[in-house]
Amino acid sequence: MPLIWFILFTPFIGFLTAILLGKNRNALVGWLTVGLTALNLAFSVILLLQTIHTKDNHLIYDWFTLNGKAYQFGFLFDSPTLMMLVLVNFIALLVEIFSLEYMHDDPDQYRYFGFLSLFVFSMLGIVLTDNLFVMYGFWELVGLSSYLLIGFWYKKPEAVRASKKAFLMNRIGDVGFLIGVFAVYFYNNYSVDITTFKSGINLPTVYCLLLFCGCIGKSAQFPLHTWLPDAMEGPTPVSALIHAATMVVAGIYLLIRVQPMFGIDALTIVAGIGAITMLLGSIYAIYQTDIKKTLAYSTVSQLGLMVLGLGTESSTFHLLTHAFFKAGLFLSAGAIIHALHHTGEDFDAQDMRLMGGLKKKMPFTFICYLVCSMALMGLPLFSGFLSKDGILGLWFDNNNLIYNNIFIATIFLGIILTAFYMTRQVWMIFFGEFRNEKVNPENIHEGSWKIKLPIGLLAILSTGFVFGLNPLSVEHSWFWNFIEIDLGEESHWIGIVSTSFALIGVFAGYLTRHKVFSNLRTFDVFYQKIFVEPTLKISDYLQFFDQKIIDSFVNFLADLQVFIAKFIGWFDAKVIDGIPNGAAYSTGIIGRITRSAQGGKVQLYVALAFLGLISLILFTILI
Amino acid sequence: MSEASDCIQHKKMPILSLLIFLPIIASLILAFTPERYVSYFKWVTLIVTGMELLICVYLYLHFDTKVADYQFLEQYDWITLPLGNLGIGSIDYLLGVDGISLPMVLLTGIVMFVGAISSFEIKEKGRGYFSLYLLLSGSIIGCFIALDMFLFYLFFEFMLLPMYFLIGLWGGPRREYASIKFFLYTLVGSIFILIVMIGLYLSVVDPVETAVQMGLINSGADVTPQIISQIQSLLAQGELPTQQIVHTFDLRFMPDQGNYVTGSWLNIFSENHIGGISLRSLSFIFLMIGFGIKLPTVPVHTWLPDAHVEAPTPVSVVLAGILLKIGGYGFLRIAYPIFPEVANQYAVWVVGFGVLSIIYGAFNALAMNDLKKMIAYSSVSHMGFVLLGIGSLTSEGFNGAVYQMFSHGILSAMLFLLVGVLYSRTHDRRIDSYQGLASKMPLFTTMTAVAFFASLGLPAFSGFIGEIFTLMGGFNSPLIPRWLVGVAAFGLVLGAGYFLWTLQRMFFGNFWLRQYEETLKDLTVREKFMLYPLAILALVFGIFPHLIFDVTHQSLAELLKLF
Repeated sequence: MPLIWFILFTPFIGFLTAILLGKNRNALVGWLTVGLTALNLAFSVILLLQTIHTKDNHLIYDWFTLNGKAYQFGFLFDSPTLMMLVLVNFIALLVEIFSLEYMHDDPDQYRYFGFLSLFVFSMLGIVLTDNLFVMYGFWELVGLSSYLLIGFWYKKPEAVRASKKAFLMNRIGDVGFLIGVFAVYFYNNYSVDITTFKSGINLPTVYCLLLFCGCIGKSAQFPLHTWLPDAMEGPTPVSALIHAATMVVAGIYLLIRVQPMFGIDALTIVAGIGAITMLLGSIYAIYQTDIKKTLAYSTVSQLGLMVLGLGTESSTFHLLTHAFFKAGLFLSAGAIIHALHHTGEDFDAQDMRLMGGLKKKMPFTFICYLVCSMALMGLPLFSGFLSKDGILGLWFDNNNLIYNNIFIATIFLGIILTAFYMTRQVWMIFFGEFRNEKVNPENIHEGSWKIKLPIGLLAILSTGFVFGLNPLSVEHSWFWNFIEIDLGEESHWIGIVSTSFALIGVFAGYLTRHKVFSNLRTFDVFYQKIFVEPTLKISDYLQFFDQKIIDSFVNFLADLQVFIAKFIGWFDAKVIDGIPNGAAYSTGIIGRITRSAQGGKVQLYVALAFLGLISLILFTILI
Repeated sequence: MSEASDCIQHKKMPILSLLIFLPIIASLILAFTPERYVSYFKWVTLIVTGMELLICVYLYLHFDTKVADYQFLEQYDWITLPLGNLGIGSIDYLLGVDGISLPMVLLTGIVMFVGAISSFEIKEKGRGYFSLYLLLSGSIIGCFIALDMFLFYLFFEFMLLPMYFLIGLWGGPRREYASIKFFLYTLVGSIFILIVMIGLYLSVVDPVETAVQMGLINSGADVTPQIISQIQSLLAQGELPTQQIVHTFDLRFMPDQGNYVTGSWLNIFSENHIGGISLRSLSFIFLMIGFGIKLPTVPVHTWLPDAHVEAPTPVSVVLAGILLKIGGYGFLRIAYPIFPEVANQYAVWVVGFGVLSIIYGAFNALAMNDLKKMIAYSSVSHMGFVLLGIGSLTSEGFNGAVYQMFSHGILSAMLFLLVGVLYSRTHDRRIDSYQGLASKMPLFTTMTAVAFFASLGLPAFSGFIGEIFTLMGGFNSPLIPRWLVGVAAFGLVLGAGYFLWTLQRMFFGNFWLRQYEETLKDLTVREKFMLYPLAILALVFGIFPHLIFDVTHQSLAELLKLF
């Protein structure tokens, strides 16, 4: 089936053409990217209609062989993949349309759209591939495109720092993931094919967790969650696409794929990490004053909730609904930032303390934002309600999961906190008085259709009606039909309880609406002290060791050699050579003495001869 | 081994000899050409290395990937002398390639050619430079295709001469120190190799030539497996007349333990010990030291940063691109096939030193402020993966190690060329002298980013395959504790750390230079010619690993059977 190749490579062609067309054809590149993504969306939908619920959904190709072991790559297009295909292309299309206006004045648009296409390519690679080895490859490429897009404004030091941080923290998770892949290869009969993952494989818990490290990195789970808020330095549409709707859920997607191999111990720890992440994310979200950072921490918390779905269909469902409403929120935030930016004044357009009362100025954005945030809070009639209750249902139904009471309590607490910070945020942005004195409120305008259309669509998709004719009932939504799960009749009191918790949160948020919380210490300070600084210290010490100890030792050996050579030279000159020289010298002295006896003076000869005679006589007499 | 001598291709063109002697003859011609033609020398060098590259590609294309044995064999008797009671000494001129050496030969062709383009910037003493460069080219190739250990050693030593002068005469301010250090380090290493070589020589018998001597057959061409096993059983019983034993340096006979004289130093059944270590173990250790210096392995690596920093760009390129690989090649060609049981016993140590190099090199690279030194230490780190793969004694590890050598050859060449590009403009290599280069030199920045990401093991580039397969080999090996592999994998994080940090510090942010340079231009056409092909190669070999694996895996599978 060639269609699937088109789906994978259309965005790559988009990337290449964008980079080749270059700076002078910025406008063309933008529209071209939108066109290609639209085309790809159409392809994906066709593929979905053609292959949904067919069993023949696995294509395998040989990549290379090594000693009889074939390393393959292939495409698997079962329902999670088909869903992700359409989702990624759809959100990407909306974001690109939005970017046409949002990035209109940027001189490097070609690069921006090229990188977006590169991202879509790698993301589609992750969801299309049928084995973990190739997935790891695309996984890293996604990391690269995220790096490039966060650091898109490369002259901004914070952006560059954030991009490096994102890549490195992801790398830490990826190392674990990689070893996990090796372990799967080793324990699963030399196969990393996703379709072979069954619960029968005895993958030791430690390797399950290492595999899960990939998810911890990419999906910003505790303790590697801190890169995601920083990633907000990138352009806002990028945050919507990559750091809310698609890339960060790659980790969840991985969990969905590998979860069948996880034993109960591994799942408990996974759930624990999800729970911690959910709570941490929502607590930090309360303390943010930057509109995007609140949303970023909210994403962290929602990702934690998805992990609490343990990679079951509930996770998938929440992944889907979250993608729509969170992208909607980010794009709306982008619309606000864009509008404030275009007032021409110089101030922090993302600071919520400088907003307020925007309801009147931007009514369309307000309505969309409101709809999306109600979906996020999980209020009835909105999509979040359905998917959140799916996850809660999972924990209520499966009593064999350990500590499930604690996890249920955590989810409820998370629901309260989420409703709390979202209520406060909506209030801070849209209600009350406009608090920025620098800006004349008259200059704030809604954007054009390029901004309104994506937001509007995403808001519509955040309502419960889209997912089922009865928006109050999880089991009747078409999603379950799509994923081919027959959900049993569910007790409705879960929905009622969760709604009341959400309302508590809303009420508490309303009560504290005028109070600003800020400056909660982040984990970064701690990480800087515990990991970054020691690493740099160690590298300095090792450098010192290398130069002053190892190399000095080498130089010492060389000097020793020279010293020994010199000593031998001295010995040779003075001692060895000294003996013949000494002999020669003494001969010389004797010679000189005897020579003086041959002065050519007759008197001396006579005297010497006489002296000789006397000694001779003395000698004979005495002896 | 018997088929080996059958496939001596007398009728065909001696293509491997051509590969060695083409540059050496060109080098001699240049050396005796009057100085006034010096402006043509770079073109001659370029053409000769280009022809070399074409021959290497020809070899690659005509190499039979189904066969594990040596191909394109050329064998001539070189020196034969009776040694009385010690038997008969025989040194052959014996050339051939197999799956282990062919990637290295191809790499040599590529890197020497790119280095020749880079040598265009050499302005002074051109005659000496280019003739030495060609001489170096010939001896490196010789090292990779010699199958007689004596011949190998000859080329191995001979390489030092041009290298010493290339660093010592065209290098930076501390060139004398660096070149002497390089020379002595390698010389010390080669003494260890020499000792083992002599030991092997006295122990190993050429069964074919011995049969000829005894009159069992008329010439080497008539040999049959029966004859070989007859000779070997006579040898094992000690019934061969010592005067008729033909000792050999032939590397094809050394792995077969049946070819060792009974009771000789390195016979596997001889119980010769020095200080509690058997002579075979000691020989293996000696080879490890000798080739470890070349690789280089921590803690005998300190010649590398100095040599790199002082060497001119093309010499750095050759040094990192090819010379280091001779270390890894030596393991696979000499140490491992000849002493398999010792290699098995010391596997953890080999891997341990590999992991040490990975981590230690990476930490040191992180501390560097000199760009060239940073890349030199990154080489130490990347070559550690080679040791990891070799030490794992698995198919993935071995193939990954060869792949890593090939890939590192291309990528380190690219990295040093990039440093050269910058240095030729500003004469400053300090990382903190630059900021925001991206806005002034976008193409240069793009190529640097490509090289950096390829080096830190981004998928779709060749470095990824090498690192992944060596790590996988380590993981699958029953001899290696898995935590060691985990530590090695942590090197991937550190690698990303120093490369990205450098990108951040030098290329991003607002443009700033310590000394303002008018001449800070983006890549020239010549620089594009050397950088783009390397980037494309890194990409092609990253996406299609079978280009190398198909060549290597038969020979390496054969090697693995010894363990």
